Amino acid sequence: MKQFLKKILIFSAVVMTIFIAYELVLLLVPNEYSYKKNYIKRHKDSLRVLVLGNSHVADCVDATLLGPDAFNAAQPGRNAYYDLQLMREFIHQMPSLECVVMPLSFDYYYWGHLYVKEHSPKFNTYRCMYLKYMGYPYADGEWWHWSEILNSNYDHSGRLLKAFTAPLHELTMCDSLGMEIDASYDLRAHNWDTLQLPSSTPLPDSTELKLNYRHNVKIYSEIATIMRENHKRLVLVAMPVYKTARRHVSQRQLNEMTAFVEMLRRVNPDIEFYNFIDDPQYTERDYYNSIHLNNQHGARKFTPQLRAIIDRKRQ
Amino acid sequence: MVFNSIEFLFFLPVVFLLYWFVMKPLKWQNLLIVIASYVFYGWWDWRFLVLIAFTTVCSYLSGLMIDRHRHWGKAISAANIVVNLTILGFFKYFNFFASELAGALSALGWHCDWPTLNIVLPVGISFYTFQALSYSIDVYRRKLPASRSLIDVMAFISFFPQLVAGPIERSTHLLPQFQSPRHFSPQDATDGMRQMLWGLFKKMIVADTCGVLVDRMWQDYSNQSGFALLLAMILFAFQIYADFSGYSDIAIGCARLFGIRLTTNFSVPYFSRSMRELWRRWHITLMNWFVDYVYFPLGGSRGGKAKTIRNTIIVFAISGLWHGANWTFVLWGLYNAALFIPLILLNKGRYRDTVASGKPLPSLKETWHMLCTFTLFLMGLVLFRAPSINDAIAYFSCMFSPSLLNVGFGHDFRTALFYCAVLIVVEWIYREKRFALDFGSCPGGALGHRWVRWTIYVVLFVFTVIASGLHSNFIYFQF
Repeated sequence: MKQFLKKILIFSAVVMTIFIAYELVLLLVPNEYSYKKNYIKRHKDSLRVLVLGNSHVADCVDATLLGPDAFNAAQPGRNAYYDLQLMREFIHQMPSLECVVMPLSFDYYYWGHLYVKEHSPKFNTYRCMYLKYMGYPYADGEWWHWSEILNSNYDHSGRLLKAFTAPLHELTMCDSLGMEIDASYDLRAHNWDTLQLPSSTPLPDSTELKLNYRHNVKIYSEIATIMRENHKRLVLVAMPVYKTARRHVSQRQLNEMTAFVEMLRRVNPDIEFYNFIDDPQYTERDYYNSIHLNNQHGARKFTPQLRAIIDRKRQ
Repeated sequence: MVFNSIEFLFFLPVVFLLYWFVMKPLKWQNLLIVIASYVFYGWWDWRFLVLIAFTTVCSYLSGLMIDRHRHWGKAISAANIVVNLTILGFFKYFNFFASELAGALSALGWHCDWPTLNIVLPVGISFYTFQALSYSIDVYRRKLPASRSLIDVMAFISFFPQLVAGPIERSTHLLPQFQSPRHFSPQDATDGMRQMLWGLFKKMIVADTCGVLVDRMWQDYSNQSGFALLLAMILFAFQIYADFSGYSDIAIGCARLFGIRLTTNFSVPYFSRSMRELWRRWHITLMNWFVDYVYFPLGGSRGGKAKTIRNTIIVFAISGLWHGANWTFVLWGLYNAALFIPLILLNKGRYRDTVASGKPLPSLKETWHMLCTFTLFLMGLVLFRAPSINDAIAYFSCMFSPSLLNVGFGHDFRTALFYCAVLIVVEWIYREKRFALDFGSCPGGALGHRWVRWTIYVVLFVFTVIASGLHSNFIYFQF
């Protein structure tokens, strides 16, 4: 038995050493998380427009069309909690910043928090990546989530192999100004109805969702407060959705979205809100899937609209 | 809890150390196994522990009663079978039969709103129910005496390595092992670790890589080329084999750490030269269960060709239905029966040895037979994977289209096929051993050096963990 246990201990020690070395080497390989945070850090003095939020804007805001010194720091699956962390760390160090753009999906204030809870298949992945590459733990003592081997669903071994051959944008999955490269019209879903939407089911009045809602209210309120205190504009946008998804959006959800914005305006009366959900100019070829515009036609249509909003106020 | 999870990585050493160092008396070891098994199962959903406990107590009591009242043995055994099959039927088949009955009645002009229930299928219910049934039947058949110890029976029915996806153990094989003292064998434990390692590689690398591509193809098969669908069909064959036999390898290896020997469940089935041989090598414990408890009681091959055909069809149809409440599974069973029956009638394809035994490569004839058998099995797996019979037909019609000749491999396909090739080569080399990394019984050549073996273990383990996720479930859990 002693001999067997000795063998197991030696094997475990060898394997653990390799795993730790692997995790440390991964730190040296760029990815979207480290790239976007480092970009903000490097350009904090000059950035004028910052786009935060999730895939709804990450996929289709082409910062090159937003004018100089704009950056799309949004990321797929980003929870507002992490937007808040970025704001807490950087907003007061950004003298040139005029405007922050964030998406407000029709039910995100209910479901958003769930992205960092056990319900999400990427629960551990997000916690790990934000902790390891952005330095934002979701809760105190979250060291456990630091390991990609233990937590991440992403192809980290593929990323490591690509590090030696692939160009930067293939590692970061975004262009140099932050727009996702993986949301093109060619890669779109063939069947618009196959996408499972949280909004396709009626919102249950569960205690958990109510708690979730309250949590998100707190986060958005703090975002609104930070923006007010630092005299920056906060532009909230409800993104266009394709007709197959639109039919799942109920009037109740739209009313709740408006009420949510009104609630935020009590904290920060200057918050601007623009609703594109029913904008008729967006057609099939502008979408990547039923709730995301693509990074080609969709981005070329939406970004100028966004720029007009940003410039309008300045004039 | 699943084998490829962090929880299990901590769970196993703790139970192992308690088992050999703290709970040394036999009774305590069995009690620990029961507690560990219930924790293992309850990690998924503790509410369903009641079901296992109920099934166990029913089988335990029926065993005692059969022993005490022999003249009522048949009735008691039958009652136990009915109770257990009712539970299984309710959780697994209620909605299926309710909707089928409603459909049949409405076809006759009677419209009824038969209720369908939102029933959660308890993980592994088909496995432990069959194991529990085997106990009372074997006691009734006087193959073993009824156990006086409830703990022993609980350990037999809920032994955690094989609780949720087999191998389906026979009471005559496993229960006596819980009734006699076990001694730690370093050789057994080392072999067990090797077998677990190979099982993890099969599950986490081969099965999971293939599974992602197969799911993607099936989600949108009408827009895929025929060649891509052909590849997906082949990859599914490797996915299901690597997934299920990988689980069995881990289960068998894990049990060996505790001094328990489980039955071999897969014996290189894809190197079979006939469907008859394949079904002797595929899910061995389930097929043996059906042969002993269904085929033979129906008369087996005694009573002429007609009865043999009937009994074979029944066994395959039931084994199909055992896999899930869907006509696709029944049809899959019947398809295999149709391929199996001619071989019985002609008394052909009854290979007892392993292909190319003692030779490095098979002959051309053997290769041809293996390819034909694999292809026939492969076609049936489309039925197994399809959500409905219409989908299976549509899949075939999309596959057998002009685009079948559009040969092209994406990067993902190349990776998956490479892993499948590694699996085939390694299993071919070790086809006559108990499992693929069975170095213990062939220490010659380079593998005679400890450092070579250790390098293989470390590289395989590190690669398996790094190149895969620790999150996916095993396919056979749903059965």
